[in-house]
Amino acid sequence: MKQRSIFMKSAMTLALASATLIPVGLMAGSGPAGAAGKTVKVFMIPKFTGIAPFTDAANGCKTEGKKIGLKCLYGGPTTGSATDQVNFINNAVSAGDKGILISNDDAATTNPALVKAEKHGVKVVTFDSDALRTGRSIYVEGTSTASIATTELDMLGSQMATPYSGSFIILSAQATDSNQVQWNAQVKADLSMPKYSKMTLAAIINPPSDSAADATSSLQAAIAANPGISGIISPTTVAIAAAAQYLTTNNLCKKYVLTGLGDPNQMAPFMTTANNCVHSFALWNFTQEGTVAACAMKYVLAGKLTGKKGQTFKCGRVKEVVLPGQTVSAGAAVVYTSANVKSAGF
Amino acid sequence: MSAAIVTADVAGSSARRGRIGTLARRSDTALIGLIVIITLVATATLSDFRTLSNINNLLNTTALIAIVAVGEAVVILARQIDLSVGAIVGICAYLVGEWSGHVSGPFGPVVGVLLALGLGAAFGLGNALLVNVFKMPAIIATLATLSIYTGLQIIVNNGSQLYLTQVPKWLAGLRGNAWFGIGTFIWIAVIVLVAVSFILRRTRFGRDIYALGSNPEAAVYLGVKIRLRTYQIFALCGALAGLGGLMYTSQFGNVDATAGSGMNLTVIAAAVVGGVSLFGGAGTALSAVLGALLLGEIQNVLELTRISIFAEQTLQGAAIVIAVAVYAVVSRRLRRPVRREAFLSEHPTLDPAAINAAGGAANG
Amino acid sequence: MDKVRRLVLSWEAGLVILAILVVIIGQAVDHDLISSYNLQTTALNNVILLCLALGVAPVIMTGDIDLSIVGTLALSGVVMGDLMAHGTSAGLAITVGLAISLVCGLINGLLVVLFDLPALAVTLGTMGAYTGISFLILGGLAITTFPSSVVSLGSSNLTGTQIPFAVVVVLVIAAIMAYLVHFTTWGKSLFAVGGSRKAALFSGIAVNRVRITTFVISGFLAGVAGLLFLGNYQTAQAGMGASQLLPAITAVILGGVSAYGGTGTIPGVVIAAILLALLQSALGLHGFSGEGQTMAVGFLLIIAIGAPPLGRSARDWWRRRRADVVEIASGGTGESKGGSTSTSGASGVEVRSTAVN
Repeated sequence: MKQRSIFMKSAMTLALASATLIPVGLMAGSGPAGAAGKTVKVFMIPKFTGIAPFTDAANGCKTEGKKIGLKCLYGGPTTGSATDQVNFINNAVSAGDKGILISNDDAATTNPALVKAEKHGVKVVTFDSDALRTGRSIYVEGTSTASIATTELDMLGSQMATPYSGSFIILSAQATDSNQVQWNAQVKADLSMPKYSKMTLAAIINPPSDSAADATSSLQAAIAANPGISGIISPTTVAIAAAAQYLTTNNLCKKYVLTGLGDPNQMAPFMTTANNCVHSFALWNFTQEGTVAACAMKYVLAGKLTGKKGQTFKCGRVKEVVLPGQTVSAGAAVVYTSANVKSAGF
Repeated sequence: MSAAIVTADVAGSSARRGRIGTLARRSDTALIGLIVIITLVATATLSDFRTLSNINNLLNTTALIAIVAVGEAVVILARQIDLSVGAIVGICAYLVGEWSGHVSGPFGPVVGVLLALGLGAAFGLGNALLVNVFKMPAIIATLATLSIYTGLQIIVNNGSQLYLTQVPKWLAGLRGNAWFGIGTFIWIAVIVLVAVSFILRRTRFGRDIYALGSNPEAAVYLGVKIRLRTYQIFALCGALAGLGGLMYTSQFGNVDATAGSGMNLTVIAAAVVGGVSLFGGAGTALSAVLGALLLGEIQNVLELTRISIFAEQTLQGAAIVIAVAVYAVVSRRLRRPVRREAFLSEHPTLDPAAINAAGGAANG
Repeated sequence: MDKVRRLVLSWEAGLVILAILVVIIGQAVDHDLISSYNLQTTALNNVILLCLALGVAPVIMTGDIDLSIVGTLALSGVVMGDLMAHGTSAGLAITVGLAISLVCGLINGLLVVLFDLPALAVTLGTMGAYTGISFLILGGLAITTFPSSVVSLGSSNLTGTQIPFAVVVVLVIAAIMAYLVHFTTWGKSLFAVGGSRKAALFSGIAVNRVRITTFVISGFLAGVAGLLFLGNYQTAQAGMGASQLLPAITAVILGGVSAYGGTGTIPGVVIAAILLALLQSALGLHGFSGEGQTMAVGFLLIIAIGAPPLGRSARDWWRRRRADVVEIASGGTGESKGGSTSTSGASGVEVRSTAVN
């Protein structure tokens, strides 16, 4: 009797499964539906929601979008997960959005879904963190990888006891974050330049997750494990703030030079006369990054931008952007010191 | 027939309570032994371990986990579970920092602490409501509220975050302060440990919790007010998670949507590694604190051995398994002289000999 | 008549009704839910979750838990990917990867059962260990090119249809699991062990062997999930699939498997996974972000498990029936307690009667 009831339940499952699958078979070949209105819907997907940089980028996209006829929708997973991002990619295509703007949790996992989206006529522009080349038209980076690497090394080198000489570590994010991997590789490569030849990279530290708690415990261990270092580069807003807090509470500010990429609002408390733990860090404007990404999307949708070198597009205050290749920078990184950190205004 | 058995069971279990206490304390002794051994070996071999700043950091970091783990332990002792504590820590970290920033003057800290405990307790009561009114098993109820509280955390954050500049001075400075050379966090953890231990061992509430955990049906039979106790344990657990949130804000200053993420498993692992049985009724508040300390120490030692972070993750996982195994074997040895039969009749699943014999027989 | 009534009032029927409601409302509001692209991609993006859930369900039915499934997924996936990248044939690489997943599961089983350690603590440890080894193998690298056979396993359709091959594979696995759990002696002993290990022991069930087998199956299906991941996302990367743990366990529990063991059905798990996938898709199409979707899953759990008076009356009816069968009037057993305690208590009573007989 019990077995028969299970049998019936299995039948029920099969019925439900086929009820959802049969329409698929019947509708073979039909593409996603989508009503074309006056404004074109595009979907922006962050690595995860709920943190300031992505909210800023979304605001940039929304504001600029209104001016240029794009409706910028925003949504993403609650934790950094590429497989969860795939849900949002698929939903955007199904909902008939014309374009996807995405900051990838890792370059590879989302790529097949992006390729599939492009096959369905949806244009993909990556921002902040790239996908593989096959999965997008162009990549809008906050600022160029080359300039991030040299800015970081300059900020650190100029503050070292003997300028441009000494050992340091990079306190990065999860090992699979594609933008972090790119920047750190560039720093490593740049060390062969004469200017930085006396600086040595002791270790790249990848905490197990992008949380302040993990960044702190990883830093604590890295400091103990690398007694010879005098500098810390932290190219992520979460980790640099956690590191500044750690150095402050442990009275280590004088022992180590801390610099990297940070959020001015987070870093301001460490750049006062009472607590001058950090002297400089850099960041680009995420609102600007979102703005440029929206403009790029507009031109990609119009077919005027395909990623060929030399193509140009216009964007708000930025008069004309010339494509150096498939990657375009939203602007230059701003170096923040105690002089300008309070007036950053974002 | 069954009613008679149940009554006898209960009578036995309440009479044995003193002995269970002894057992729990012996398990704690085994764990303390394990921690002392690791500490001695690490002190002897790792010069970075024995520095004052490292010990201070280890204890401060552990304090946060330990306090939340004590709350979780109380829930687990009553044969319930709370999977939502990480989200409660995250939400309270944000709201306490934000709201107590508007209160100035000497009452700031008082308001802040009350706010943390009250908010946390409110979220805990939400869990208890689902368990009591909606009749949901705690694991499902708190799995549901984990999702809801996590979503709420992001909505409350409004896509932004709490900045250190918005956090009141007393709160930002709490982490660095020390009384008599011992950090504030450690004091808070000690106070929580003593208070909860007292409640568990010396009050009716505590006795009821152990009774509920050992045999819920029987406890109800003997007049334990299960609904009231359920509200109380989840409120207590939530309040301690709220306090953990306050400490999070103090420790990190910047609070974003990632606050408290991943803390659930660590906290439950701390309680379980410490010897709090997931089937209820066995363990103490101290067990949870010791479990947190052991996990923290393992992580700390591995980080200091200068191996790659990748190898560290592997070894940390292996170390948890080994620690649990060593501790289980040792505490079982310690338990054996204390009337083995009585213990095994209470925990039949823990009798390897019987299981092996029967398993072998059936297999053969 | 009774059979019909029981089926209509069953847990699974409730889930089916919820799923149909989601489809009707979702389709009415956004019109995109039932489109070939959406159903196809939604199904594909949930096969890994379902595969993990099918593996871990028997473990939970016996009253244990396996958190290491995502570690096993990452380790076997990375090994398969790395071997293929170094020129090993797909067949051999897959064999090695699946063998590793079996070993991972076996290690869990031996530690939990033979050393008699808490499953939660052990599998939390091995989750870290297995994931860690995947990082040791690949570091931060990602492998993105695979033999066409693997790619088509994960992303091509059944010939002549729009039904993804991977979906069929997982449904076949579900059918096999349903057979094993509900139609074999091993399956019956699962529920006996979950109801009461002591009683199961006395009734001559090889408790140790049953428990170890569940961990091995859980590990193996995590390995299969790793293979599907390679095909679906065309990526092998350390720590891959880590975010699937909680959703997989949610599907198992929403599917009606008691978290304390002793009850549950495989069809229930499958329906729950379909329901969760449809809900997530419908909400996403309506413009809900991750936080909205997450909260909705929470409310769904409450609605499905806490609210319906239908379910309550079914349960009362079920209890009365059980009591008739077992003829032990378990007076006051968990009447005021949460649902799962009473259900597992009920099955415990049933098992005890078997033992006495």
